[in-house]
Amino acid sequence: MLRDRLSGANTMTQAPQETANVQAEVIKRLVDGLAAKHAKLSEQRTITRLALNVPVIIYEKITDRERAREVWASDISRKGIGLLTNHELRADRHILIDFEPAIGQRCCIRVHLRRCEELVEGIFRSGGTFLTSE
Amino acid sequence: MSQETLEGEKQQVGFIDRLIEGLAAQQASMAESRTVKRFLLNVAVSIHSCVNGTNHVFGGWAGEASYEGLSILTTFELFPGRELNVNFEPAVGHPCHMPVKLTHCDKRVGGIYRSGGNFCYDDAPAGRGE
Repeated sequence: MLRDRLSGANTMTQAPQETANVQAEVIKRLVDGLAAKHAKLSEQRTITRLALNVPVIIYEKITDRERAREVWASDISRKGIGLLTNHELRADRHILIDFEPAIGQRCCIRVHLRRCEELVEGIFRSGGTFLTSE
Repeated sequence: MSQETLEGEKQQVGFIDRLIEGLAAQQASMAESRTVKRFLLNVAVSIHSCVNGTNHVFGGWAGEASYEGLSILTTFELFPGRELNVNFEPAVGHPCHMPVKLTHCDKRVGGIYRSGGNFCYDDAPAGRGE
């Protein structure tokens, strides 16, 4: 019944006008599911990931340090880092990440870029491992 | 690069350790002060906006959600105070439009914007934040 009430329209004009209780119930179920998933993942993970949310500079070619781009570092662990960019980064290669915009002093760390996926049009998420931890 | 660059592996490991310890302490403190816990959502959503009687539909990335609201990444600026309809279909498996009122929008580097908003329940919804 809940499903029936929520299904149907795809556009704003046709969007179903759920009651406040039904809307709250959908969100409650969604967030409860996320909380359960989060708890399970936290148990399984031996490496804790933390939100970082700072700008960093990446050098896509370690041998060509003049070609710098500022990107967004979204999360970090002792093993690696997650980046958000508006362009695709080629995976499976080494890049250099400078934390200067975040900490105020130059600090470069080499990273093995493992993957890059397009989240939505124009937003890419990449993940890499610190070469110091390999 | 310059002399300031930390070249040694031990120095790099030390830097990462200090950074993570600082973040962990900061986030533990934030989590304690927050009354509503946030969780990673990480799904594509479609966002429906009505401007001057015209409907616009665009894509976004919902990063986190709580019982109160959510955060969204987009490639363009959204305006605080505006009400949007966010379709959570990828997260819940069927079309599900939720009205969200934007509270802030910050520009990230590289033309990416991160916005936050509150779910607009009419009044006294059941099960909210319990």
